[in-house]
Amino acid sequence: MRHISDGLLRRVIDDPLILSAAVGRHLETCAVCRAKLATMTADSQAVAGLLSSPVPLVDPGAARQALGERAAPRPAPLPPIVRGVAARVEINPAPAVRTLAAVAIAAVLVVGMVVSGAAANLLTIFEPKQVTAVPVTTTDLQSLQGLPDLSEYGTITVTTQPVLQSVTDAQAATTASHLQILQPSYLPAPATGPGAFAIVSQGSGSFTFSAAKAQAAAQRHGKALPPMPANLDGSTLYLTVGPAVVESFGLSAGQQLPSLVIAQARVPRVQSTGVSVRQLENYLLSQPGISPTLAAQIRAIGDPSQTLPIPIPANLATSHPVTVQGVQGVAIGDSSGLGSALIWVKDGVVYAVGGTLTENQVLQVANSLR
Amino acid sequence: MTSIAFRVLQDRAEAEDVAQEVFLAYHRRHPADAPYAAAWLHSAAAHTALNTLRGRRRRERREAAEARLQQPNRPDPSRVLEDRERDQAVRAALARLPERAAAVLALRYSGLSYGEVASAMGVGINQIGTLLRRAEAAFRKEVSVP
Repeated sequence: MRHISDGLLRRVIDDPLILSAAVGRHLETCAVCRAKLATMTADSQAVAGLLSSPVPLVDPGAARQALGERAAPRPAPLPPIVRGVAARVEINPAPAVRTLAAVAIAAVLVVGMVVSGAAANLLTIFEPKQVTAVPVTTTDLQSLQGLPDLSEYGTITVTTQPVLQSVTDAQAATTASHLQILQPSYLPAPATGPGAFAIVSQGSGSFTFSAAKAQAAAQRHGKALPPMPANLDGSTLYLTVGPAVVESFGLSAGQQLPSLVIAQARVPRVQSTGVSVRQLENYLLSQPGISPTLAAQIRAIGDPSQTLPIPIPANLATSHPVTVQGVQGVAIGDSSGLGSALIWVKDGVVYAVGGTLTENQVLQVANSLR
Repeated sequence: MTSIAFRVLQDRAEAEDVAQEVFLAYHRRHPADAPYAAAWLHSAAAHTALNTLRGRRRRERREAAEARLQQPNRPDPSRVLEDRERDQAVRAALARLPERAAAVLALRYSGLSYGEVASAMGVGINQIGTLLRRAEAAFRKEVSVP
């Protein structure tokens, strides 16, 4: 078989599933192509490092002011909650990654890799088709936060930085995100239409495990970490998230939070090269911060490759299964009784509806989405 | 568009100026709902930012030469200097690259998909891998040249 072209090899770095089965087999056995791929990966990581200064989020207010009255149509104002989300989605590998979000991502990575029966050296796909609640105690959270950063277990590369922008309406959101935007036909009293739309473009990145880095970090922190299995060292996970569309309702002047938010996003996807998923699961769940109860809950998830775990902080919120849009979802209520939310996955899209509303109101909104 | 221009210029204010300039230029000459709008705007943002960068490089070289004549030994905290030198090396390397190579890097590393980069550059999606590979190799080589 002929060697793989440079263009196709380069694309494999960003999209490991682009290769046909035959070409994939060639890559596994051809030293020439593998060496080329290694050089290209090193080059692209170096370039990403040089060009990946954090993207300044577009400030539509300032942009509008700068454009004055000369240009139309005007972009929709960005709701504060979206600005909050934006601050969180801006991926910057430099500062410490110790937040709950990072824990959640790590949890998604863990379960994503746990594909029963998958052999080493196969591409593994995590594409959730359902959600499940995983209660996390305060102790769990504290001990997880005591773990070294994710960046100390290996190298994080951001291939595509997610970018936030506000758009005028559902049509513009559909065009920009390529998602089929569902709209509610029922809105409870405090949430009035029309909604304000914001989209977050697709983001992707990879994580390459490094045994040496993990060991050095453990020594620096004076902690004992379990040894990294040999074939995990150097293997890479590819994570793709988004695009996502957020629609907020009932946001009036002086109000900090909208009364209703509807979010829809393409399900996250994880792909892997050359790692035994069982070993990966065992390694990650044996980290000192993971309590036996939490590990048991994650292991108990029926089909982890197809299930998106939703961490529920046990002291702040309660959760229970619910049927929404004909599928099983998770209903979350905060312990103050002021707000509720629903999360479900259908046809490759993860949906979340929430607000300062009762569970019944949120459920009615969710079931009215068309 | 701001994100594409920022990749090249590493300066938010300048990147916003470029985005505004490109947006107004489009607004004056083209219908808002044209099917080619996104590709046109992406491409124009990359090329306008690269032109701005080249103009700025000429100005910076002139100003640096003048500054050396006036203050031969002005001290600078080493960390600031290091960061600035790295940024300058990145921008200088981008400015030395052929226009198409610099544009493909700015477009791809600002977060556009292969399909969007292909539309902006007016080539087939299958050529993007090749263009990107050559641009990355050339860019890395240019950065290593002092």
